[in-house]
Amino acid sequence: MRWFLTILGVTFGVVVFLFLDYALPSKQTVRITNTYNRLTDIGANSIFFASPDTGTVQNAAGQRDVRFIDTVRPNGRPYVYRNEDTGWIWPPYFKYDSSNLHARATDLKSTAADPDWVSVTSYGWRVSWLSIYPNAIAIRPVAGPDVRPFNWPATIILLVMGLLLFLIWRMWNQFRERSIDPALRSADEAWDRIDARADAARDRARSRIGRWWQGMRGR
Amino acid sequence: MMALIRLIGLVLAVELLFYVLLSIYIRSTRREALEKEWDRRHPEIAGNSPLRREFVRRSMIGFGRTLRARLVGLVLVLPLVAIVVIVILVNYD
Repeated sequence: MRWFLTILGVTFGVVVFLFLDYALPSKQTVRITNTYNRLTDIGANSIFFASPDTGTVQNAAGQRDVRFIDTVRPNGRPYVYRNEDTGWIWPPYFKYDSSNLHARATDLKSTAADPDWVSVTSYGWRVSWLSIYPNAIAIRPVAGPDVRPFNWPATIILLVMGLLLFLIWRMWNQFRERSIDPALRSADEAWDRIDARADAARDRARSRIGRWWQGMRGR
Repeated sequence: MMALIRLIGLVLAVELLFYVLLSIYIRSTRREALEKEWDRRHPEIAGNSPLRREFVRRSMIGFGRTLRARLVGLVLVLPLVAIVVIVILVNYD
């Protein structure tokens, strides 16, 4: 039983970590090389794209015109972002300015010979065999490839979530101390009383039987 | 439009849940503090008794109008403020 709970706990921890890693914003310093739209097949990987009712247009074959931002990281490897509205739907970024963001990204395009480095805030993962892309949220120019702005948004969100967990833990403890424990105690006492009464009844019964037996023998 | 209505409904439901839980919680902590206060003032009759229950009941009158109880209302406002701040930071910064 113990090993089962251990596996369950570890699995739960990994799932929570992966969920936070996917949904929280992350920052990366890159150089934008190209911006474009592409008709994209959305199939089994649809949960890694925007919800259909955020205003995206999807044709009957399940294809969408998705905006993409091609970038190159300081180590020379490519990284591709998508640029989609999240609207009022999950994850709660309430982003509806992807056209503006695309204009900004196009404006900040640069070549390897004359690089302009930018810090892109995004959420999501780039997994090439699943054809999924992180969604770019904001783009800010930075001085060079070594500048890595601190990830304030994710820090603040984690702090708020920690405080909420702490509050829930305090509320649960208060509830247990003031409501569950006294109820258990009074149930215990009630049980003891019933027990004591049963004992007394048994004693009385035994003495009655005893008297009757004594009486029988006496005759 | 449907998405916005769904979001409002969801946020409101979570807010109301936390509003109820928090008001129960701060009432409970206040009652506990009052019971301890009674025990401190009357060490000879400390512990649960009709006298102490009456003291706590009378002291809790008007608790709903104290600043502490009213601050729980912030739980209905702060998430809205957070959403507005996120919208501004993501779309207009």
